[in-house]
Amino acid sequence: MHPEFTALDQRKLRVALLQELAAAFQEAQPAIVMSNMKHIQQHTTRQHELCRALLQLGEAKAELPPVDQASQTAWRHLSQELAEIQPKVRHLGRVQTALLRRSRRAMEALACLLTCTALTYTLPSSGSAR
Amino acid sequence: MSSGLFSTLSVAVSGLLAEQDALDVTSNNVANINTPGYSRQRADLVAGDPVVIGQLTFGTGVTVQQVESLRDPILELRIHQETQQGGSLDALVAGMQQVEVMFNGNNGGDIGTLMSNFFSSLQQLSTDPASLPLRQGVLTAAGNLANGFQNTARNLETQRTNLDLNVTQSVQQVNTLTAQIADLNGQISSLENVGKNAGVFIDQRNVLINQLSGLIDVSAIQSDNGLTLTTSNGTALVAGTQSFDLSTQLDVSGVQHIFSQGTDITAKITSGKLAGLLEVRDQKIPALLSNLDTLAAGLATAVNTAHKGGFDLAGNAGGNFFVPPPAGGQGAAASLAVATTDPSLIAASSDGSSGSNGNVLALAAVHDQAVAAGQTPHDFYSNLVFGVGSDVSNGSAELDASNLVLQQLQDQRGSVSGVSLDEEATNMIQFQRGYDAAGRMVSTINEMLDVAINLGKY
Repeated sequence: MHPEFTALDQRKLRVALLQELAAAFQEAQPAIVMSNMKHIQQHTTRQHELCRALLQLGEAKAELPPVDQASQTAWRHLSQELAEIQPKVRHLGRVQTALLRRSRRAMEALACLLTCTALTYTLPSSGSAR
Repeated sequence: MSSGLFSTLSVAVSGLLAEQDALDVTSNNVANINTPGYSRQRADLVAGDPVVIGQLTFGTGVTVQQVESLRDPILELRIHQETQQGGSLDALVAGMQQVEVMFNGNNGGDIGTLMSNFFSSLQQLSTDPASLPLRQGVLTAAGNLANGFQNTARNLETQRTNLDLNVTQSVQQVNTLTAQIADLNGQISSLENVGKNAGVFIDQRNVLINQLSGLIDVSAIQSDNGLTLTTSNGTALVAGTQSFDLSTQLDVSGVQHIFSQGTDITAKITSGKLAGLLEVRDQKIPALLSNLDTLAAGLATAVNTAHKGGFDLAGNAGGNFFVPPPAGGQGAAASLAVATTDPSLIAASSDGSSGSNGNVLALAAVHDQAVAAGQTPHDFYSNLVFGVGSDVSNGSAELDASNLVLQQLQDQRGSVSGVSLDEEATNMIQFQRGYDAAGRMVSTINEMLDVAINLGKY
């Protein structure tokens, strides 16, 4: 494959992956808020796959090697899209972190509550166990 | 006939009245579908106490035992807590976004750009150290840099003053709300003491507590004497029908402190809008001002030291280039100024000759010297700007997360306490049918009574 086409294709793929990652972050939000573990796991797996795909793409090239006008236009358009999607993904990543941090705090509070009550909790007699 | 036609009529009438009351409740629910904070109500119908006549037991109809408001106190509590978090974050982000504008390099008037311009002017002067226009250019760039420091420090102080005003206004809002809540507590107690439903007032109180939560951290304790509201550290805000006003007083640094019954609680407010305002006013902005002072003092001192090592156009030893910063550096940014207006006094020469550029290069080298906290001027400033941006980004993300959680809690509240038109329509048909049936009963008994009264006439 010609190198300049590779750079353009790579950028297209990067933008598409980032857009998908942004969507994945947004879709995960209700699951985290509702503490739906099954969905959280599904979304996390998806996000992990997208991040791995982005890593495999390598560093983004700043400029396209000189090619025809149409490619340059497409490159500029993709650069603009990239400039918009990158901060969005960064923000959504931070929001997800904040949500997970809240979930963790809630879990810690619950664990603390269980630890406190464990001292006064009496196990049911073995006869009643089924 | 064991209980008589009139008692049967009485039973039918109780049905009519109960269905009518239930329809009233449904109608009220529908009317309040868009009322903020309204909790849907339900008429609890119970069978009347039966009467025993001989071997038989007869029902006595139906009564509306109570009109119950459907709400989940735990959910309400969580909404209040999340509102407190959101209020704090909202104020923090709004405050820091205003600060961020002052450090925004897009308009070219930020300190980073002005420092670059100053060092560029020195580089230009090094190409022709005797040139008066180039010397004037250095003085202009230095003056702009000094103005940049002064303006940024002044803008930060102005913002601090505005936040202070906002603190006072928020305290007034807290006082208004606590007075209204105490008033509602009285009305709720009066109704509950005589066994009446105070649901509407409880809803109104919940709305007010939620508004209060947006302003300050609130803990609600329900007791026999009514609802008590305190801040999380135990400062009383409302106890039953009594509210405790907060007040503000200027401290020695000129900012308002918040007092409750003579005790300064400023540092103890942990959430709500007030906490966010206080964090920006008392922590973020003072830290930024202190950092700006460190940078201004470090830069001025380093430039002055280099400048004193050279000679001006007349061959005299150089003096201070910037007015020396105050001892300790406090207020250095606000007072930064160029010490001279005469371009010939710039000590560009390192040997006293007018063609020497040795000292200009020494002045320009300050660009790469550690002048503030072991960092170069640009590195120190970049870290400062990064800190502001980071505060805004993290705060915005936390705020979005808080809003998502709050939205989810409100949705949950809606499913418990919100009015569903479908459900109310079903109830309406059900109660209407019940009313129709009870009406037919009355009509039938009326006909039967007519027959009974006219017995023997035919």
